[in-house]
Amino acid sequence: MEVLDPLDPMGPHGPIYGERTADALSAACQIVAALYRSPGEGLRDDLASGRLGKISDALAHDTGLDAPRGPHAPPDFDTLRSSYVSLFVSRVGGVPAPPYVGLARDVELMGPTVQRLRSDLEALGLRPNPQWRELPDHLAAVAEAVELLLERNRVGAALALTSTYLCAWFVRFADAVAAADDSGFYGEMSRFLRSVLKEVAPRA
Amino acid sequence: MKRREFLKLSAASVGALMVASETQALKLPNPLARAPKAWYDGEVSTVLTYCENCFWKCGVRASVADGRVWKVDGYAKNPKSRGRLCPRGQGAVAQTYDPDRLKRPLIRMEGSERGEGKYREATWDEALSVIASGMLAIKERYGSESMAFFAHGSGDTWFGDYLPAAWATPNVGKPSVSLCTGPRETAAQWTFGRGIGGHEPIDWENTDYIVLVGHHIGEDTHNTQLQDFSLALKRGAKLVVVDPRFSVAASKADRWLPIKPGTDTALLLAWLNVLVTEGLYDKAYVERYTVGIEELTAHVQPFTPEWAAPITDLDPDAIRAVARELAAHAPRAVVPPGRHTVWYGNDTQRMRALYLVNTLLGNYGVEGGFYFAQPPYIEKYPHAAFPLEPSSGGCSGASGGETIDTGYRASVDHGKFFAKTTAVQELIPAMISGEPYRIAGLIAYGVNLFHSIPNVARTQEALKKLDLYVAIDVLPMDHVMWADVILPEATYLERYDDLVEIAHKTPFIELRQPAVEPLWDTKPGWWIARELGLRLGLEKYFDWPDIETYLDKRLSTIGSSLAKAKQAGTLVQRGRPYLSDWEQRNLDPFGTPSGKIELYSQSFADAGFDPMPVYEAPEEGPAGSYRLLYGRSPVHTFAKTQNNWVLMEMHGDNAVWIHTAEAASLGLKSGDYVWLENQDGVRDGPIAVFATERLRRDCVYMVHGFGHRAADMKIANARGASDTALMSRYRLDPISGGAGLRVNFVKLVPGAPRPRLPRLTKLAERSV
Repeated sequence: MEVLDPLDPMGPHGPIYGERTADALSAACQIVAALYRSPGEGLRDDLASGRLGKISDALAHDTGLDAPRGPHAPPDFDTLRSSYVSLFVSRVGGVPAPPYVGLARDVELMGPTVQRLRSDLEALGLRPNPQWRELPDHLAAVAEAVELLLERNRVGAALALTSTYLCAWFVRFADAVAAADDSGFYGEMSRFLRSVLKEVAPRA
Repeated sequence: MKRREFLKLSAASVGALMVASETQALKLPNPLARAPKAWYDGEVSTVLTYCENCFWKCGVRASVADGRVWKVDGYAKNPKSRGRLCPRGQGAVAQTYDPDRLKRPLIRMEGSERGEGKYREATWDEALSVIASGMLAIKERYGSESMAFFAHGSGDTWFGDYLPAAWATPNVGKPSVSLCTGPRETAAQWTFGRGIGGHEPIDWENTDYIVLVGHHIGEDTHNTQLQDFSLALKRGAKLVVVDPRFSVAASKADRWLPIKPGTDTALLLAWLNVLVTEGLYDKAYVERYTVGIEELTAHVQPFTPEWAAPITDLDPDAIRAVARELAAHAPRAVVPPGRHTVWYGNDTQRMRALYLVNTLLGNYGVEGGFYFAQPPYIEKYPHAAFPLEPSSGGCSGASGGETIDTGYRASVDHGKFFAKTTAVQELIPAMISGEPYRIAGLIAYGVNLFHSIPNVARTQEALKKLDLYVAIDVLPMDHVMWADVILPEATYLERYDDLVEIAHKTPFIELRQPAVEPLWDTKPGWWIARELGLRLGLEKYFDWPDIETYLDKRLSTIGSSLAKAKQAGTLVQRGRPYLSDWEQRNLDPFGTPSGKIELYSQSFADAGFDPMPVYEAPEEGPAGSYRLLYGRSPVHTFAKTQNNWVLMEMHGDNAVWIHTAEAASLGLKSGDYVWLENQDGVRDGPIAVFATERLRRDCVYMVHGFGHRAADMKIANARGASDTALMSRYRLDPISGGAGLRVNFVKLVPGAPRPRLPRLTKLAERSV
């Protein structure tokens, strides 16, 4: 695994890491973007078609981790939707893992980390879609940003976003998801993604 | 792997971001290396609105930068705040940015039970359609009256008045009436012919002598009331506090009367006795403005201080001295009515006695006593006439409606109470028994059903029997997660509400306007009510396209506009605070049948009630138990704010106060943990013991609002005990419908474990 200098991730002469890292990060962010948004037909299709399973398996292979079983034997879709609400949206007294990267660092929503993220995205030419009825630091949004950057071969910036924002959330909340997840699906995937991101962005 | 495949997969989910420009930075600097810009370093705008963190409705200035509210301050030109704000108001921003907020509509999973907490997300259209379909089915099967609405908070305009009246149900309850101010307002209506109102009209700035009876100013903090009270004491006003507990107010008092709980009426009757028998009352005032002094004079003869002393456990000389001091300072002497007056079930009569003391002092409508609080002038929106008039009342009292034949069935508690009020707790039995007819559906707006209504087990049983239960709220409180459909409301910083009309010495209108856009897919109450109304076929009552049109229309009736109101925030009018103001205009301020203050109430006599107050001894508790008293925390509002870490850092749990000697007799000391078990075997806790001599030996005391029991409650859960959980009994006031709550008794059961809870500071760091 390449070593990333977070102060100058691009290096003076361009990327200092290889295609494999970018591929793995892209795959991980595809999964994050698909899993941590409200479960809809897209996720149902990704699970039913086996696409999510294939990507997870490939990602596990590339990073030397055990492949998660969840995508191959997911709970029924109603259970998934109910678990999603209970873990990430609303439950009595509060959800165990609000899916906002700012919460991994700040004491409240829309705090300084979100300001930084907005500023970083703006510097990268990205801004939240006004139709998006979620907060700008939602996991799925950040994952999409990383993926867009990778698509434009801006791997250093993608890695910096990952290590600064995404990893912090998974480090803090993956176990909380696993502890509270009756379905087992989100818990397993959260821990898997935490391990993947640690491999891909080791300085996080 | 091929990335292009993943991008294809991703295409279905892309939607959060847009590419803004191609002039992108060459690299992303390390974000953590940069010092964050302070929010106030950039452009900060100010939005005038009013607070929602308690019912005082203080005018506030919200400071907004980068689309976020960072700070809320009092608004100097608003008579409710005068530029100051309490901790609850300042901490309210944390609620808007609480990650636990309800975020989008939820529908209970098919096959799951109420209370199981299994939900799926839904669109607004689906959620509202499910509700409308359920309501229409109930109407078809049982009639529109079989839908009940419970509401609390500023938005209760929409769900306690507007929508229920348009839908046509009289079964609308607000805890602010029968669980709070009902007796106070009913007594005032039948004594003065006027209510007290949400802003108690005490002429603090001119009074010289104050007697608080069970009134915890400083603990139940109402911003300007506390300011005025403090200024009065600073000016040299004398203070007497009547309370079984040495409260914060008592600590400022010249005299503390540690009365036996439940005997206040005896004390008030003794004061009436002294004022009458010693000829200390204001004879000119009484002659001119009252009826019934002869009857009252005869009535109070037996109630000497010596008669009251053994009942109240007070020194008769102290009782007499306070009556004389009141008279010596009259009319600039006042016994304020307090707010939460549902104590022992005979509460309207107690409040009548309190008003009669004030009347004999000649202070009603006079400087230094009570002023006349006039509501501001403004017209309603000219919608089509509702089939039923709103009848639930509010902080300023019950409306006392249902006096005409409306063509609809009366509320299920109709006939229980003289005042024709609707008592929220009395609507619940009909959900279980179906008598006199079935309540099959409930919309609960902003009411914590499990922390405000006594007999929680009965409420839960009732919820299970409903055909439709809808909760509209900001946070996923315990009762919310029982609903079939949950609708997330925007917080007060994100929404408009109807105009608030404050009856006051200088009547005023407050505007609520959004400081920022609602987060997530939350909606304001007015929008929810209107959209639901449209789906229910109630279009003619919702002919305004949006709230801006509605508000602008109303404001135009006073020569203003929404644009002007947004700039001003508060619109102040002139009042008529004193009797002299009314007499100059040949107006009669007293709306009683006699047109005067009624010391003797013929209306009560005709209805079979005592026309003048009579003392009833309170029921005693089982041996070894203590009467359960409760009160407020100055930094919390009811049970609403215990998940706010900013406020919990200031007051993070409650303790049970018990006299030191009683604690010692039980082998307890401060810091020990106990269970509290009431007369019916209901147990709650663990709760810490606070052994103190600031309380009588026959009662215990705890602050209301703590003791949430929810496995995943991260901040509020398991901190202290719930007084409501221990209120399995209440005693109804047959006149007002108030539920007397101080009729429960508890034992302290030693041996409870000290709860192993994370430190609040640690939770604050996690913010979840």
